[in-house]
Amino acid sequence: MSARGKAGLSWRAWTLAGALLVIWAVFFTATGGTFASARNLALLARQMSVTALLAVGMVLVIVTGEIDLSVGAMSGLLGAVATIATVKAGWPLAAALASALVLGAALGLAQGTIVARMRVPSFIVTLGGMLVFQGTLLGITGGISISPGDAFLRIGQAYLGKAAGWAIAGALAAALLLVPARASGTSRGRRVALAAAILAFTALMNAYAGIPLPVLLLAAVAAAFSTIANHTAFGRRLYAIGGNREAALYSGVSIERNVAGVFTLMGLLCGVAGVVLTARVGSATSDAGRLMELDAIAAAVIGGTSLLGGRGTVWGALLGALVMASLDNGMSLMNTEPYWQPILKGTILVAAVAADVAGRRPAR
Amino acid sequence: MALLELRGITKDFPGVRALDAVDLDLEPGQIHALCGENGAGKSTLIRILSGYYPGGTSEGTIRLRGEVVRFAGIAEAERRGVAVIAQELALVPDLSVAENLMLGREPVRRGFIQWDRLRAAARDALARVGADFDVDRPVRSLGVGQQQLVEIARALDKRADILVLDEPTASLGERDAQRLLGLLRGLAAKNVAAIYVSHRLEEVFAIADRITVLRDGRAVASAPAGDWTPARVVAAMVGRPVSTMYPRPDPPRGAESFSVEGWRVADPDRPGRFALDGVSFSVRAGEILGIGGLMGSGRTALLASLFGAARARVSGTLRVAGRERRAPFRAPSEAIASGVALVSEDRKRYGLVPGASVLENLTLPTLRSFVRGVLLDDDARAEAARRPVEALSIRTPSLAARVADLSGGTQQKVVIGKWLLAKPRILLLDEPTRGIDVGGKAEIHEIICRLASEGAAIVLVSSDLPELLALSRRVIVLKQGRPAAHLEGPSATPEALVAAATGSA
Amino acid sequence: MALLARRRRTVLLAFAAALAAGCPAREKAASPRPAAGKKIRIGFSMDTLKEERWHRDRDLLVARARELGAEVLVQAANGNDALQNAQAENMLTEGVDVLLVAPHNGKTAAVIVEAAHRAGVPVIAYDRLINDADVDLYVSFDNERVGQLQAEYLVARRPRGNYAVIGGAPTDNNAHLYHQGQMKVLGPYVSRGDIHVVADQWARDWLAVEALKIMENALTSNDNRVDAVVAANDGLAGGAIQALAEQKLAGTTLVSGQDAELSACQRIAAGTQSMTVYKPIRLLASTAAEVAVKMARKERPGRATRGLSNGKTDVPSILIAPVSVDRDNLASTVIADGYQKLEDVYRDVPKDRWPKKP
Repeated sequence: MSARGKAGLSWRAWTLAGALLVIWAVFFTATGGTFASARNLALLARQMSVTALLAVGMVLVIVTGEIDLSVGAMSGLLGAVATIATVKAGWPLAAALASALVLGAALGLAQGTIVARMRVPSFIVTLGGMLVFQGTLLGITGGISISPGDAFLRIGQAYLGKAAGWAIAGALAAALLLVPARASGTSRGRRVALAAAILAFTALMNAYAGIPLPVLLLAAVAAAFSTIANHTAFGRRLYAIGGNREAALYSGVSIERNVAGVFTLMGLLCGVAGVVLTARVGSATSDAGRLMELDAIAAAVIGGTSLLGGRGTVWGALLGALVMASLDNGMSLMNTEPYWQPILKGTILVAAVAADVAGRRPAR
Repeated sequence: MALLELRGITKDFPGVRALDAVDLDLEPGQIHALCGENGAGKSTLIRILSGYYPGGTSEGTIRLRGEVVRFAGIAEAERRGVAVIAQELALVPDLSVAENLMLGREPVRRGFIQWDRLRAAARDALARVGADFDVDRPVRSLGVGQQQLVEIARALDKRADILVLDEPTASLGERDAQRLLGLLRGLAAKNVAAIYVSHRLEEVFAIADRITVLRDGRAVASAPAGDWTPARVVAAMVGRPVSTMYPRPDPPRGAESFSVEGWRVADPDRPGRFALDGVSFSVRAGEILGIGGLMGSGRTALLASLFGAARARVSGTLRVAGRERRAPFRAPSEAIASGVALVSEDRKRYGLVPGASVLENLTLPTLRSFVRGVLLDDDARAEAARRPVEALSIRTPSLAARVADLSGGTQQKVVIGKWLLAKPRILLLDEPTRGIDVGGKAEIHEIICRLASEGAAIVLVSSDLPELLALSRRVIVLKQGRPAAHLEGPSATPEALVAAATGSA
Repeated sequence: MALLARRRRTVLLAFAAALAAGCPAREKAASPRPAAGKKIRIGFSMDTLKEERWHRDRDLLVARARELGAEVLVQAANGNDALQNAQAENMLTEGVDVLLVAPHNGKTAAVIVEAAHRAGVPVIAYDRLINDADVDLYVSFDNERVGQLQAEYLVARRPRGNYAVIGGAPTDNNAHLYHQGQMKVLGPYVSRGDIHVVADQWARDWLAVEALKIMENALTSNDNRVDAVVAANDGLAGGAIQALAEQKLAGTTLVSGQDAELSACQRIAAGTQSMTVYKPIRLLASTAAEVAVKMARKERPGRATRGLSNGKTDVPSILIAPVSVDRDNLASTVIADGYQKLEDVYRDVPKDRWPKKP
């Protein structure tokens, strides 16, 4: 019976990896190889970073059985707050960045508290939040796009030096291979595979210019969130709440505290994503972040997160974000008309979930 | 000629043969009881018979009135006169009784529903099962027993002559159960046959013409009811004779562990009135206190309110381990922190996270105790989870198995197991053996006695009178939210309990 | 009584509409006031206030109209067609004498023209044309000319090489006009084989992040061999320059722009953006205010020069010429007009390299 559970998981992983390979193969052929160049893959990783940062948090929100529609607008707002703090208020960069994170967490906590304590559906609270944040963003920028200084922009553009990249990757791989596996921990084979993946990724990124800073940030955030999801009491409680809210309550889990907590984390991530977004685009604009919440939700869902709650993984969401970014990037390289991108993205979204549902059925 | 003839029914699931060449006959007007432990194949057989598993997905033949049939789905089975009254009722709670009765068959003219004809047809259908409640009431407002009558009325109205009833009395009080059995006997006299699945052997012997026992997917014995005795049925079900059904717990010797005084719970549906009022009792460490009463008498509301899970205003004095609390628990987390645990009557809804693993479910209430620094110690967690698995012999392939894939009895053990890890001093048990087979029941009875002998104070709610009277030396009987009797020692007999609960004394 | 009730409802509607669009009702001063005497009331229905330039349009237009003794009601629809139509209808209900419309969608705004004409109110299309409708007057910059100026500037300096073209929102009629103008200039070079257009894409909703991605992908697929970028406005230019900076190409590859936004002027001062097209919005806004007042007084606007086809009629149009701005004439145009301040534009440039105050 446990084999069935695992088969369900790997079925999803396999279909997704297969779909990604097909997409890549098509683009590889269509672009005469450019798509798979080290340079473009590094670019792909950068282009997926903002959506993926949000998707990583969105997984936990959806696993809890909630939704957050405000993440795009909140990211835009927080990026602008950090920019204004450095440019107009003259704050030091670190303080400005911290202010975006703290404000994000506070806004997330506020939304989460309304959801958890006052029992207003999260769809409504965050839809309202989205409008409020959009309006606030327009208000504080006055419609003017504001460019932050060079140090700020480096967050979006800089690369980790090749030597430093190898050092980090080597240390991680060594830790995976040398630290003895615990009885219930990841099996040895999976550790070797993970170590190999880290080294291969580093080699690929170093083949161009090194690991881009936003990508390094994304990897760190994803690792942290995956750990939160799987190895903290808070994370496991989120899965329990999403799986059966009543049973979680009857087991002594505080729904209020944990729901508020997951929205706070999501807000924090919006701060990170907003800063990276602003640093990448080069200025804070009044439209920033628009519709990004939908990309983040789509990435999480393509990556196997169930909108009913209780099921989903951080790494799946990364894969989902990669699929979406690949479509954007590949079609842009091919210079296709812009209307094809939403059509294809929508089709893939439905197809991914349909394949998952179909793959699950015989197991029942 | 038999009304229904099953021959060589075989059904495989990946890695498991759920049914192995099962034969079964049903005569017109016959009540045929199907007995077996959970996992014996009863539900699978019912699902094949009802078209839930369409024809062709299993082997063997089904003959209906001599004609070989292969049902494409539930709708076709119903059309041919086979109707299932499932454990989970298939009614739409917010539609009226009349709409539910006529759902999909509403009398319509020019696209508009003809409400007069609909109501009249619904009243006729209800009359056939001897019920006469208002057909405009939403189904949600009916009791479980009444809802079941609506389902049976609907099946009969669709001209069903074979009713398949899966644990129909599991959630009924004594009186509703008796009424249902009477109804089935009356229908049998009118040539409506029934396949009756139940764990309650008294019922089976009271009603069945023929009894077939399933074990491990095989029909191990089938004979007229007169040829069976309860002991032989149980022996056939478990494959061995079961001598004593109920262990007797040791007499309690501990000090008072838990007491309530003047307990009062508001009725959320009727402002100004109380679902429970004037309830007082105390339990000593090692004691099992029984709570009896009919469905809806306030038993479940009592346990939920003690646990801090009531959705209504609660007042009264609560003493835990001799210390008086300032107020009732406001949330289950508070109750748990004080060493109180609740095994709910509805384990699917309140007890388990069905999509999560055995490990997750077992350790959910005690997660905090496995935190080292900020992270969970997965090794310690798995090791802790193995303890209840062994102690309760929870039959699961691994700790990673989803609880939704386990049998009902095993699921219930998981619910009890998660509280074992929390080491509660006070254990509230609400229908702990409902829907569980005989073997599983006996095991759970033993566990309850063992926990008591280890010093836990236990409050037990059960509709199973022999179980309740055997396990608890003292029983408080509730009637409409008020204490109606306090039975102890020789006065604690089934007759006295029923009399107090129904007010016929 | 009835009048009061109706007015309250309209105010509520407008409030609800503003709330729905997530935009605070900014123009409090423009809220309806009883028509004391015969003060002229101009309705100004705007697509958006999300970009810097539209704030200027609004402020300048309102100021000029006030000088002429007219009152302006302003509502912005945040890029929502349906909302804009509703807002325009509300202003008609308020009883404006003339309606200025800067449409989000040139096609759906035709409904506004019909509604206005039913109420006997003339309609002036502002900045963007309204298609398939009997628009009374069109006041705008010569948008095709904007595209021409961008392309002319670039080909004069890079007559050969690889060009990337980043257009605006495909739903914006002006974006297509800019593109037409650009291609009119580039066309001959392309057919001669001197210029290769290596990317020709549109940025959804004028989003800078879209321009960033388009530019990143264009650089990747052409191995950084992109000599000039025809970016349709300054926001897109900003996104493209981010991608160039990442490849250390900012300042080497030429980039056009439009609107003379502050951040674009700063980039021109720093040398990373080559040019922008300055559209003297003061001129546009004051012209619009003047002709609106005239039309409200039932006078002939007089200055309409040529008819521009909108698919139904030739709309009498007043087209104001845009100005090409680069580092050399930044001080004498944008800064001299007071459109941007010298100390803002040269914020990051050492003071000794500042141009003289004009």
